Amino acid sequence: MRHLNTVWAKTTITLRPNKSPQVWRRIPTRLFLFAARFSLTASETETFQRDYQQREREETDLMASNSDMGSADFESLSSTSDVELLKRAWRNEKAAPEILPYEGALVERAKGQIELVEENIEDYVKNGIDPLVVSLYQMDLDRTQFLLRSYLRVRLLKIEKFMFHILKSEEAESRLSEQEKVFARRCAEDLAKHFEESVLLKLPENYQSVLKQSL
Amino acid sequence: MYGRKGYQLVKDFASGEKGQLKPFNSKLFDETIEECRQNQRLIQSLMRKMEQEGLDVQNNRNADYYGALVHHLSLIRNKRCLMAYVHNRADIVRDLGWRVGLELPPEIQEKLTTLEKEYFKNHSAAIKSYMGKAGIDLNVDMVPPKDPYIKVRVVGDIDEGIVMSDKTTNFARHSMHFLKRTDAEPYIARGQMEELTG
Repeated sequence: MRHLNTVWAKTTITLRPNKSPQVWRRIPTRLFLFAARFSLTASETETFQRDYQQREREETDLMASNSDMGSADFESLSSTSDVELLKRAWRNEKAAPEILPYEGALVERAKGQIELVEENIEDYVKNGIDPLVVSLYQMDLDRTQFLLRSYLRVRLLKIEKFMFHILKSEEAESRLSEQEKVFARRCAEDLAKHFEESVLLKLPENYQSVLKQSL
Repeated sequence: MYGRKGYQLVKDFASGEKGQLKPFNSKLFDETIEECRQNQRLIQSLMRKMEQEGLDVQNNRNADYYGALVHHLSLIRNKRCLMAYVHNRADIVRDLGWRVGLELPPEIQEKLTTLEKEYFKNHSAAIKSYMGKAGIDLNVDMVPPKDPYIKVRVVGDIDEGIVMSDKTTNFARHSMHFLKRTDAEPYIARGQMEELTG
């Protein structure tokens, strides 16, 4: 399938499925690669695409109804679903050297949607829908879960790296969620205790502070 | 020469591979601390000498004052070296906690002191409590998922009858299985299974 590398630049592909003559369909590249991987027929691909777009529409409807923007802005919003927002937040967090403000509402919504899709998948498995289609949903779920987990992980790693600074600066502390604040405090206490026990208590008296060189 | 032992300690740490721990060099560590104490004793004796001569400590800059200053500065430098040593080792210990999980394999355990093992336990507990409160397990999905199911081969020894999410499998050595990615990941991280690609 090496020729597919050149196909990435295009966002949609036309293909003639099922060897049926004169019937061409346009589908997005990503979907084509999914389908090619699992050798779906065209009708299964279309069902999947329809379900997926339906879900994305539901997400943007939910988002649009939550926001107070006018109808002119709705057009610009309609292409950003929760998954896109999560991807953007994840990219920002990975690239930024400092910790960024916590997207609490986004994380909560994403968690809710993941649970919903998990239930759906269980239902599908029970109803005996084609396991290939189920595994496509499962893959999408896995990707979203990975995004969420990686987002939280990157934040925790940044907190671990800069714990004393974050606890000292009010502005940085305001960018953490409640649980992250608790985590940061615990981390700092653990590290300070570790320093004290290994080094500082053995040193002479004026030199026992963690943050200052000497008094 | 003051400060040489601290320098050797730091060099010892830097000479190991990046991200890998060497056994804790307690001999050099204790020698450095002893040197700090010696510095402190000399500072105190010099200060007492200055006070005995009736001179004000802050304002008269005579030879004793500068001697005490030299001791003070070398003590601070030793403190920096020691803290850097401990701090960098603690960084690596934390990193291990994320990569390997809770039980450390014995080759790593023999390189840590008891204090470091305690720190590791405390830190893992902090991470676990965060995961519990946030409601998400953060130790799976370390790599972006390519397939929901992957083929693995069992390399190390695993106890029998582990319960996976779909089925119970018996892990004999060199047997190949087709498992869910999230189930297989902890074993792969510990080196007990390897992923078969291609």
